Amino acid sequence: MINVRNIDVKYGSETALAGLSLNVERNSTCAIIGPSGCGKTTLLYALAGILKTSSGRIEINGSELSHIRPNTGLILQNYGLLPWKTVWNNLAFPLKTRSVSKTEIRERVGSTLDILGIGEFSKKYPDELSGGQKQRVAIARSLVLKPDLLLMDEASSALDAITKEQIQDLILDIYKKNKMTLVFVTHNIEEAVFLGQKIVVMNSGEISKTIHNPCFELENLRTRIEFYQMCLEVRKVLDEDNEKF
Amino acid sequence: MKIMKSFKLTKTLYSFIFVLIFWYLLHISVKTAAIPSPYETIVNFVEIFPQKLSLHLGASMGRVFLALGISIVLGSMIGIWTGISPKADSMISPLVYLLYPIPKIAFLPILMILFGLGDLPKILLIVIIIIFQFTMAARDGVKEIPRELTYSVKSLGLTKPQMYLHLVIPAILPKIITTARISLGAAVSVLFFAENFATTYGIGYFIMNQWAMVNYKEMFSGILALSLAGFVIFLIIDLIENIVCKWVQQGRQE
Repeated sequence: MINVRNIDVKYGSETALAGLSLNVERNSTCAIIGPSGCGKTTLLYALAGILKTSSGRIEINGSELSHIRPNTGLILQNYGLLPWKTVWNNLAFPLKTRSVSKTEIRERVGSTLDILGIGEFSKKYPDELSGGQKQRVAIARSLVLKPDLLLMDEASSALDAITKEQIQDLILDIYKKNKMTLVFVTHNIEEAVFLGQKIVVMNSGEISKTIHNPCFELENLRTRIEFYQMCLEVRKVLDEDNEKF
Repeated sequence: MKIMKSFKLTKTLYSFIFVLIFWYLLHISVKTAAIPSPYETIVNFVEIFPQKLSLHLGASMGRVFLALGISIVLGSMIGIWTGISPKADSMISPLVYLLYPIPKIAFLPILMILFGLGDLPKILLIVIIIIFQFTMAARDGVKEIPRELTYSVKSLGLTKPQMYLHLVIPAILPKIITTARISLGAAVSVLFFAENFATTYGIGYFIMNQWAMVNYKEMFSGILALSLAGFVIFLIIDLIENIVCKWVQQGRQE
């Protein structure tokens, strides 16, 4: 699905990503974890086609990424919802810009809001919602576009512990029900282990280690000892990494 | 909502009563014909409004609305451009900073020489005075759009015109409306000055003409008409804000 080959991304003279390569299989999940400023968000933006690489190549589904793909969904930490549009219109306007018929917009937006349990907020503005509700709307806005690739940048980091787990459960549920590839950036080890089939550890614009996560999709994962063992393993890698850099 | 509306109405009524009391106290304490009583003025206002005042007020408001409209559209367009393009910002902003503090009201004679004695120099004078506020408001509004929000909207695959329609213009609208409110006072003041030259229509002309003819009752009726017109324009701006910036109102109620 995603084939990143030796990419560099620069902000002016500062190098954010240096010779980074990564493979993510179709319909799998990949967590990108690392300290602040390591370039994980830059990598996500590059995968979204928002940031241009200065060298190297990104291929998605075999074709080179040269523009923003219509089938890539992006969910950000601060939700990225337009404050001047109601929940309904936040979901409907990208469809309108893609010339989707009114009947289909009504159907798709209505059913997506219902699936995410936010149908009752359809006439509300984002500022009238709680953090968890806003994040559900942001997820809904991505889902309504039927993405085959979902990119998330610290999607639950602004939420309280309980809402965070609810959103993580929701994301896993969505992933299971919809065939899609999920790449997400996080600084939360538990989230990386809960949602990531593959955990990519980054530091200073490079990938320092890729960990395969055997716990992924196990039933009642948060209550199992394997989950915490895996968290410890990731933490160990992060600590070793921090000492190195 | 009903409670809010009645609260607003009570506050408006209270303001009117306050102004009338202050006016009446001034009338009885100063004891000069230059300050007629509110009652006399209101009676006179009602008498002369349909035939006389409305024509002058109409001419003035036409000029103000046209100048405000041109300044909003042109000023916002330049502001959006400077907000988006760092090159344009480096070119336009120093120019704005240089020209903005100049007392441009002194340019009226030059504008009258260049554009004749009609409405054009008066409208242009208002435009060159208030356009800078709109340019700066739009520029700052664009710059204040969070980068994450831009990325998020971009990721939806919007075209450039769609980005302006769904992101940039709604983001600057509250600032533009606030600027319209602030600029309105300046626009009316400038118009009042400009209407003292080379015109026989306009509320500025009417007030000063009545003053020259020592007809203070009608002069005050003119001032009353100008105040009421300003009040109505503010209400119109509030109404527009309620429609196009509904989200700001909802946020305030939260």
